Amino acid sequence: MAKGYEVLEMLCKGVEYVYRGENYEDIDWLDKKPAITKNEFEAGFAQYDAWKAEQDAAQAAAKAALLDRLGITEDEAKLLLS
Amino acid sequence: MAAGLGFKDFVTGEVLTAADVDGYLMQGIWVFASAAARDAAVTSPQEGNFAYLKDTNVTTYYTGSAWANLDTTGMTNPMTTTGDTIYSSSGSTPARLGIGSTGQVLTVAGGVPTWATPAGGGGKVLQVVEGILTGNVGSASATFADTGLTVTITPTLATSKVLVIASCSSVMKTAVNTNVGLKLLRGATQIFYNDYIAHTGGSVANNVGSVSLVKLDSPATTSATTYKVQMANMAATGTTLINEYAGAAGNTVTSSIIAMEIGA
Repeated sequence: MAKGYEVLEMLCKGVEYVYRGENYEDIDWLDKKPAITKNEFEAGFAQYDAWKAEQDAAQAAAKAALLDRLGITEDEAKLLLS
Repeated sequence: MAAGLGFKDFVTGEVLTAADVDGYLMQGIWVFASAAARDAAVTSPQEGNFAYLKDTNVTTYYTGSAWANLDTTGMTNPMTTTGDTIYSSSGSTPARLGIGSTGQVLTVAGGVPTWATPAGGGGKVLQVVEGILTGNVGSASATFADTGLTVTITPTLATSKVLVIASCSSVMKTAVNTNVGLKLLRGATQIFYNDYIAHTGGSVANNVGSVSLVKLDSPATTSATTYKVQMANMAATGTTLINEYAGAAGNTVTSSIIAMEIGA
């Protein structure tokens, strides 16, 4: 189950807010105007896992492509950064 | 004038003599127009005679050697204000001790009582209050905002210090390149600042556990004083959090803020 801040990160990139709790009413929109509706927020909990998996897959693919282009393994990359 | 003879219970048929009249019946309070009239009428006063003088509204009595004023021989009230008290400044001389200030105690200085501010216990803890924050708080803004972690204390003495200890639990940033800023405020006044918390220099999540904000403050007041913690997401990206939790059933992450009044 996603947490409120994870749903907000997914739906409200670049929006300034503070929230104290897990409910839509707990969000203090510092821009004064709500960036999303309560329905969008509540629906976001069900969408988050798929979105996160997509993000992780895209990141993994990008990393693999980079390693392939450099012609090194992940372990060799870690060694270079150590 | 005859001296007073005390008290006599006259019985039926008893002959009232001149001595009875002078010694018993005339021993009330005589009324005269003035002291001069009294002295003219009573040429040989006896100890215990009483006379009321109409011109000065004073009751006098004869001591055996002189007339004395009954009304002025009592204590003259020196008090003038609500809360005043009376003490002896010298022998039987009464003196006024004006009401002290709130929080003052009665002590002795120079051999007489006086109101003074107490020392406050010399570093002792006079009171302790606590505030609790349950539930996580997140920020996506670089502007410091209230977390809800707050405590209010009313110092008993303006000279007291207040030791404030705020412990923010499970402080973290999500997987972005930012860091956590925390402030401790007395009312709207910043008294403690800390940032770069949970910084990694990269886009990985980082939970640093508890972060303490500790300040020995001197509010110099006896009014209710509120201390609170504010948080900011310093790079305004991702989320910074306190009271983040893993979701274990029955376990609730809490942060606390404690204010202790310390006697000066």
